[in-house]
Amino acid sequence: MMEHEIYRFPRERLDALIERLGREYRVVAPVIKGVQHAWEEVRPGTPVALEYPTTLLPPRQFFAPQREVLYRYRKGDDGKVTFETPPTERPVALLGVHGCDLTGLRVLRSFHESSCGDRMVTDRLDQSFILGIACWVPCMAEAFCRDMGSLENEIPADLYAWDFGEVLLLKVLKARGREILADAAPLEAATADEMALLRRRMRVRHEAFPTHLRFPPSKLPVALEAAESDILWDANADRCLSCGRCNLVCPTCTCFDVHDTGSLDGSQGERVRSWHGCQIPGFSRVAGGHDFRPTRTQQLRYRIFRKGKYMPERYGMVGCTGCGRCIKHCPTHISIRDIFRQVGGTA
Amino acid sequence: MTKTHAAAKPARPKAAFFSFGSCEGCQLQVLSSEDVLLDLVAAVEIVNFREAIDERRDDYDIAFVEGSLVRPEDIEEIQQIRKKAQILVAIGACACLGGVNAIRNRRPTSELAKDVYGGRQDGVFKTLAEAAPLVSVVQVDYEIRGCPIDRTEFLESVRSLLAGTTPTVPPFAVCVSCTMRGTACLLGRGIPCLGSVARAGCYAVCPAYGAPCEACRGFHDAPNFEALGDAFFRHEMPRTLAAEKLQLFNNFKDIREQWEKHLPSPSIT
Amino acid sequence: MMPSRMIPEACRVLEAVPVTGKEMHFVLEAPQQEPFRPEPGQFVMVSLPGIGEAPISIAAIPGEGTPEGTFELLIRRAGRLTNLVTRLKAGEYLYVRGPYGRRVGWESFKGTNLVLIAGGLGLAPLRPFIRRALIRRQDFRRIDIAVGARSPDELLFRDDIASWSARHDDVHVGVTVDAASNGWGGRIGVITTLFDDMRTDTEDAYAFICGPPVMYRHAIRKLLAMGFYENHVWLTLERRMKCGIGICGNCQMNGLYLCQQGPLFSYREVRHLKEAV
Repeated sequence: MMEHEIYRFPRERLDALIERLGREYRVVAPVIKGVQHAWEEVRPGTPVALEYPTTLLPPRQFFAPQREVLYRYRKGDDGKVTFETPPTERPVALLGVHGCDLTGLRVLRSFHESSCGDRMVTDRLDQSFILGIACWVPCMAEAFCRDMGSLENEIPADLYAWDFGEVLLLKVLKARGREILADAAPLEAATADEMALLRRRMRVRHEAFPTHLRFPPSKLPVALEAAESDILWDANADRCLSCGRCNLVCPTCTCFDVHDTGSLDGSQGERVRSWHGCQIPGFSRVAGGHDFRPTRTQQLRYRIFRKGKYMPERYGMVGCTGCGRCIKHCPTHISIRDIFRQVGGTA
Repeated sequence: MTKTHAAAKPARPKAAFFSFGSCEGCQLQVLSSEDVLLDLVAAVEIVNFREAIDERRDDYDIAFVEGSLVRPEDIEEIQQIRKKAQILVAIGACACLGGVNAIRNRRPTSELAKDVYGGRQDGVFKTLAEAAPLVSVVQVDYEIRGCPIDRTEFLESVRSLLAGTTPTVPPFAVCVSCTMRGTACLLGRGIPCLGSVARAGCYAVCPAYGAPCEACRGFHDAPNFEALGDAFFRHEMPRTLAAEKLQLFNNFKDIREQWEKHLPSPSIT
Repeated sequence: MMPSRMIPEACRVLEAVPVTGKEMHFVLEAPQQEPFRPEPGQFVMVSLPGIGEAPISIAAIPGEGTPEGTFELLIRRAGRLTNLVTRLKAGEYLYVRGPYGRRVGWESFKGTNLVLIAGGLGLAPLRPFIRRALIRRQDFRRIDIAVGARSPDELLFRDDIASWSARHDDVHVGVTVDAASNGWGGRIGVITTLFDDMRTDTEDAYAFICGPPVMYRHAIRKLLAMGFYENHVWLTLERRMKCGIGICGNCQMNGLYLCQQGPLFSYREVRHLKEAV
């Protein structure tokens, strides 16, 4: 920790930070929206929640939006269509990102970098600004970030914060972080007492996070492979509503659908991509109606295998961050944590 | 939407709107699409639309039909429409599913007449034993579902028909749209919502305003009614409540059959 | 930000020939923004703006039986996009991006026996293989072609089949239909019945299979019984695809992305995958 610069940042300067970021970025942070917290655009004065239960929708919405215009088309007089890409939007600054969601962004990057896909997502990641925040306690009962190794993760934050009430301690992880911070408040190194407190709190922090798995996540691919024909998949599939919530709330789901819209006369319109998922009916169906992954058992197993086996094997990172969203938001409480736990066993 | 230019336009197909047992609210949805109404009439020639125009012509290519079949004469009328129209599109829950009219289907007509009219109904009008969706009598080419239909979906369907292709219906659950909107799950808060078995296309507007989904678009492509019962039970609501809720729009026998065997019988029918 | 790689290019239809009641055979101008050099087994994403997009196998490669600067597609009416595409006429435009998919090294097949097995529409993706094998006939030993269709009416690429059959000195062509009415003088039976005529040395042979999903199990089973090596049996698989560039996830089959690592696979690469065949 000491090789990094750590500065003390009075909480009251948060608005100054938002103001500074707002000059270049669209600043988003968790705010209370109805009965839950959600990522919303904020301005100086907006009550930002730095301590919050994980949001329903993950931060990937700012890098691979739910609905994104790929291009606009326009039919010319000769019947030939021309295409035009939408204008570039402002880069995004995220404030108060939990370790699980930081990990989600890392997975998002590794996925898009190793596929031969386009750079729409990685460009947005490159241009963004991220303030990570350390969690002192599990933000919700379904979380298992400690088991998945994302509790400690600080990458890809520019700045990483520990919340001590009146004062935040901010670690500079990227030069860009220091630059922004220096504009928002005078750079003031953390005091020796503050550093001692930080070390003490960090030494005992993990005690607040119960463990759920009795094996490291690196064992998941092997554990899952052995469980391919497990009755466990049927047991969970029986409860599955095929509602797709688990896909949509997942910080590492990347699948999308493509569809066209347009004017009634057919002269112009848009081709749009929007979130899709392997648990959503129609996902694996080809023209003519044949479904290559028709049963709930196959679909559910596929989702868990993708997170726990296919992604680590292909991208070197487990696709589950332990954020707990898919468990919390499943209407029948299907739990990836329990599935991992049961499949991995006690060995 | 853009202005249409007469020169670039293909021949306008002729469209007609008809209604059977319904509130005609779906047709009002079409009429209230003010921002694109001019584009719509530029793209299709409307030759019969009781809610909107006085003209009544029978030379239509596309028939948009609202309502469920409730009177004996409805049968012949829909068969006539089918004969004349190249494309028959059922619009709304009543036409596609039987809808709220089919709530009465499980009780004898005579008993209902007594309850409603005190026995004075005889000789005034005749009623079919069961209110029925169009598809139970004629071939329906496309469906635009919902109570009422969604304007955007209606226009998208018209756009597809004009382009010479088939309108699409989302195969997935209302939960997909609801989650994407960022709405906190109603079922998760103990509110009896049917979104997880219901077909999307409505942009999950009801749950966004706190009203549980009542599956007015019928079911998505892979509904799991046992799991719906489980979900109700898990959130401290009886499984029978799920069945009671399903009766509202999905009570026509062919549709009821899909869920009835998976849930305990509702206490109210 | 870089422009999306998902923007297609307008390709003019040079010829549009109805094949059966359901398919159209297109000769198209090749995309020009980047050199269009597909390999056999690759596909393009075709679209009509406002309607949608779908993956279609390339049925002829520029300069290999079709003029340079052009390519061919065989498109069956199977959905809302292809219903409209099959109505396109010469002079109109189809919107194309690609080619996508694995580029299989042709060199590894040199000097071997080839067995090409096509059921129904599966002949379209196999046609570039057959054409290249016949252009470079001296590179191979025995060549067997087995073509199956549901009925005589549904036989595709009849001119090609006739010209291949005419080379009976150096190509062995078998054609069968599942069922036929009067007037069909050829064989009746499932495609695997043609395998009995293949006097190929399986020790040194490669088989390529493309057809409807139900055909694969039977065809592979018979080829393995004939002694083929598992990595010498190649399959073209089909899945839903929305991007062609490895990101939309629709075509993922276990850990594999069909659009990048396929759609052509050796049986050994996919035999352990529950979702493959």
